[in-house]
Amino acid sequence: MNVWEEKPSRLGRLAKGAILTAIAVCVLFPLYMVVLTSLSTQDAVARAGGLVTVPGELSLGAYQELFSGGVVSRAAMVSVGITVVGTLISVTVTALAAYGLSRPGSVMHRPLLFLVLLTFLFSPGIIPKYLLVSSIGLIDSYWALILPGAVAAFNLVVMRAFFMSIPQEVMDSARIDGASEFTVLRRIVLPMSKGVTAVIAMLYAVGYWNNFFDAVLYLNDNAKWPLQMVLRQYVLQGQSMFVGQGGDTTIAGRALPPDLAIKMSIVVVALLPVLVVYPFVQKHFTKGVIIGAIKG
Amino acid sequence: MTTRRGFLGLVGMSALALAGCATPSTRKPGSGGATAAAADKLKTLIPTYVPFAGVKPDLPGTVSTLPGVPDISGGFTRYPASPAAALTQKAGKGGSYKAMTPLWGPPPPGLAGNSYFQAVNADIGATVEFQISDGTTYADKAIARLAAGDVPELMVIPSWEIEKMADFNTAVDRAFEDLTPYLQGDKAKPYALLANLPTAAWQWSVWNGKLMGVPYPTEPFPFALLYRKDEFEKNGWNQSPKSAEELYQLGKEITDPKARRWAFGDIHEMAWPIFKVPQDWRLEGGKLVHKYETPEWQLMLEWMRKLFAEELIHPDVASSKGANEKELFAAGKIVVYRDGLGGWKELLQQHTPKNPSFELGAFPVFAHDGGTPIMYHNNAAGIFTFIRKGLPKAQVEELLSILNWCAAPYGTKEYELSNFGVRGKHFELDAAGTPKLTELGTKEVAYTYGFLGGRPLYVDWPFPEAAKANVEWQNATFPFIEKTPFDGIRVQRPSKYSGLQVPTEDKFTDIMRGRRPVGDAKQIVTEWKRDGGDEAREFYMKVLRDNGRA
Amino acid sequence: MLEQAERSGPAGDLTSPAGTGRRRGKASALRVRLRRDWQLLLMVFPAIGLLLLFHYVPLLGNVIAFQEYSPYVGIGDSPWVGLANFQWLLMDESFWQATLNTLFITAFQLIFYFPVPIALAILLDSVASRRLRMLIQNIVYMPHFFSWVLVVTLFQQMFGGAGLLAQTLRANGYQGVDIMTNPDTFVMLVTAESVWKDAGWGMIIFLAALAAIDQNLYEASAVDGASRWRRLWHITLPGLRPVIILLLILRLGDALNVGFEQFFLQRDAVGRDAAEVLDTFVYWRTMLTGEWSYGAAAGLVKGLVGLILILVANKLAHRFGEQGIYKRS
Repeated sequence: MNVWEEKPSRLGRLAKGAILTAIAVCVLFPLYMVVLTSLSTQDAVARAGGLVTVPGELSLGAYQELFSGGVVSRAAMVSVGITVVGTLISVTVTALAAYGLSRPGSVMHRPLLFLVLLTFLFSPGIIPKYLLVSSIGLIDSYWALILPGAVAAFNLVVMRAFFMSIPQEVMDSARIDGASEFTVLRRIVLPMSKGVTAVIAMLYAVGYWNNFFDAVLYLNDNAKWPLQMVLRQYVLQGQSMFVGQGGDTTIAGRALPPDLAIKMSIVVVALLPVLVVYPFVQKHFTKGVIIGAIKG
Repeated sequence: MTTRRGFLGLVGMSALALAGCATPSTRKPGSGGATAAAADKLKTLIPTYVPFAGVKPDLPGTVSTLPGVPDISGGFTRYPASPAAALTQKAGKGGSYKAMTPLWGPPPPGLAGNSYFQAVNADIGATVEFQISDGTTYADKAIARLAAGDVPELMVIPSWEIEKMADFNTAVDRAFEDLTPYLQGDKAKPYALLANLPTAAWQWSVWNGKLMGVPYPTEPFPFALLYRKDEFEKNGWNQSPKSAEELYQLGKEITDPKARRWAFGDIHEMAWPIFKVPQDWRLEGGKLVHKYETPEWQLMLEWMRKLFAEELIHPDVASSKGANEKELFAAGKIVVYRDGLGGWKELLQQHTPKNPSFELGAFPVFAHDGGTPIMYHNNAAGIFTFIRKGLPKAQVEELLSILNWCAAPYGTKEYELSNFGVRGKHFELDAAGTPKLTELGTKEVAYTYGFLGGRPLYVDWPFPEAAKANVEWQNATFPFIEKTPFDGIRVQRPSKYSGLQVPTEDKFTDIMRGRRPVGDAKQIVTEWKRDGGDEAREFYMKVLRDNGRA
Repeated sequence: MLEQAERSGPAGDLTSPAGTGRRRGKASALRVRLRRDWQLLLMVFPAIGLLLLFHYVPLLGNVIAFQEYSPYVGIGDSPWVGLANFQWLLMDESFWQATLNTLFITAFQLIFYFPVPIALAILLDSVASRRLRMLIQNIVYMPHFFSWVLVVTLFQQMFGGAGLLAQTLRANGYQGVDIMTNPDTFVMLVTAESVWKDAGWGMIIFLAALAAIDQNLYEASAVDGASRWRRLWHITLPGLRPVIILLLILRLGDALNVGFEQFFLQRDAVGRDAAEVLDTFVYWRTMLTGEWSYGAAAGLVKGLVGLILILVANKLAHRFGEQGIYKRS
């Protein structure tokens, strides 16, 4: 707390405390149900007939089932690779373009911006996208999971808005000192925009991490599947229309895991990487004093 | 809500004006792609049926003499101690092929790191490499690959995905090999296990007057009313309701919200046969009448409305498509629901290990008025395997021979290998003599070869009592199978007609849920006729006329 | 790309939709500007290149809206039908109903959802204890990663006819209630679900914006004797305003999208009249019937409406002296 700030009133603190507690409960209680269900046995889930609220018999069975398959850990590596490489590319390309379009009155900036914006409004169909990816030979290549979605108009426009809120004088003075635009971006604009860069990086990373549909389309070789694709299959277990029609495409000798526990363990597993990464993003929300940033 | 609907009318009107009032000159979207193949023509295209004598089910089924209706294959109460090989020669000639199949379960490691795939391929004598694809988004992928002409040698496509693929006739023609010259009549002799597939199933593999794929047969019945036998016995509830009224009374007796127990899950689709609503069309005095137009449909709506109004259906089921009825059922929060008979086994597999008293049954079919019941039947084939067009003859023959291997029925060595892997390595026999996957088997074995070329669908559950009850239910229900005007004709639904189904049934759902008065049903039917129902009737009438049935 | 920029520079400015039409005259002026800005163009190049290849090339496929398209025949051989698909679409009462429902839900959510992440960010920002702030921040975003199936299930277990609320009422001798199947309150239900799922996640962009506000302003203002509320009004909100306006405009451009799965799942529960939105409408009309052309037509209409809304909103923003998405130069 800063020295110049006055002490908050009792009432204000009380109200704030009540609201924050309510928010925390609203999120934590369902989360508790999810985690508890993922740790419950078949029996406990069956007795609850849904998400478990009262702890019964606990087991790690769902997690064991997930990781015993042998493909999950491999798929996790694939996902990490795609997410890291993809996020690096996306943030770089987006930051460059956001800066390139952020200077008022620069040549062509409006038509280019318009070109970017249109992609936000009109989206291509599945078939033309597949035809393109297939014709440039990216089927079964990890690049097919990165390049088509590498630039998101939303992220670009938001980043540009943040860049534009930096006073032009700051950049102009650097330009007069002979700095190239790349230097201005790297030395001045990015250090002053750590918060938004972190947010945009997170948005891209989550996008790459969660994307399974591109993998459905572009990967024929299922040894290359990313994690979300593999996890999804566990959720689909037994969801064949054929079963509903009286047919049967499950392997008879396989003991099926508790359906709901598996599903919830997948929610937890998918949430874990975000839990790990989020604090690093959050770090950049600390307030910078603009003048200080420029000097430093 | 009302005001919004009123406003809507206005907007709709002005839109009509905007659109230039005139009806567009081109066809309405969704009216293409429909065909029908005549019954007698079908017979000449398909393989001659030669039953395979290698295995005999100990629970006998029913041989179907009804055109287009599949047999009940029967079932087994125990796994044969030492299955014999069905084939004496190697199926493959050392070729190497890719096969695209759907999957609804954990994916196995790829061919290079999977000893199960390697073992099966070794036995087949050729390399089949699977391109497994997510079962729920399968159509998206299949359509994209077909559009790009990027098709593997073997491509499996389920019939419910084909329904989403308008103009599939064109796709089949462009992408897949015509199998008629290879399998027509006695030419199928070299493929003994394919010749063992039911005739009705083969008839569904015909497109554009050509035999285009190898079918995966289905069981005759789409669904049944399953109930918790253990709960019913404990509480002394009526296990054989004989009329709609009795089922309703049963529902009232069972439902007790304070005890968190509701009688029913989503049983709506079973209410159709109970009320003797025709499966699709009924021929009355030379004219086709659609199920929506029948008085039975009206009765069904009123009855379902009563179930919803009195909250005999579990609120979770009523409030979301995502509700998992199987969990509610396992928890005893609902005790009756509609499912395919396959759901029976799945539930037993999940719950008997922890709860040995867990038991299911299927209500014997009955009619709403206590009279003679009817029951619907499935199309005889549910999944198809296609072969890529333009392969050399020798390769097509090798592929058919591989499919022949895959079509080996329950109780053969080939079936054992393709379903469970290598004995002692991927699976062991448990105390009851039932195959159980080992740790390696759980990791590596996945349902893949099973999709290639179907086989008679025996009930082969590791639960002898349930298997027996299931086969008995099927045999008992068989005489009540509703004969439809189109049995034996292979009709591909016009996509326009499939597109009409959801918007129309939405409106009927509004009636059942009490959001619209029952009296609106007439208007809904009028709208249905206007939006394409009458067009569909014309199409189906023509099919009947072409076949000399009307 | 660069050469193209050189050739069509000023002309490009003229064709831009919000173009001022101001002519810049001499070629030498362009050369000066290019000499000044070539690095900027170079920086934009990779993004534009990726978008052109992976977005605009397949976007050409949307011409099937004017065809009776079959994917197996291809665009080249599918017959052209002019505007027929659009006519069918605009004549369809269900299309208008779905559009109206969508706009109604969007409008409702603009009032009752959109401000929540902003308020949440400001509230958290004002929490004095750093540890408490971090803790809450680390919790509230998590529901974003829950699937809609799970979110609906959770709401069901709380507010459904067999949920916690209904069972508590029953246990105390009252009638159970079922909020999940009431069409009249459906819009509130879906908004509550959205707030619960996404408000915490949507907040992070505003946290970043708050972090970018110059702290000296607060200090100076406090020294001048401005109260907490005055500082919120005169420093915090103006500081957030560009981002708020930008996101508002983008949301408007997206007005015909309210999500698919959430409505797909709950559609039967409350009926089509309340829950059919554009995305579900298009799904039923195209996915089950393979009507690619009809779906493409619906997509184009949607994009066009979004474009108009964005341009209008942007104009309005300018009128109020805001930057909007892009400044008029």
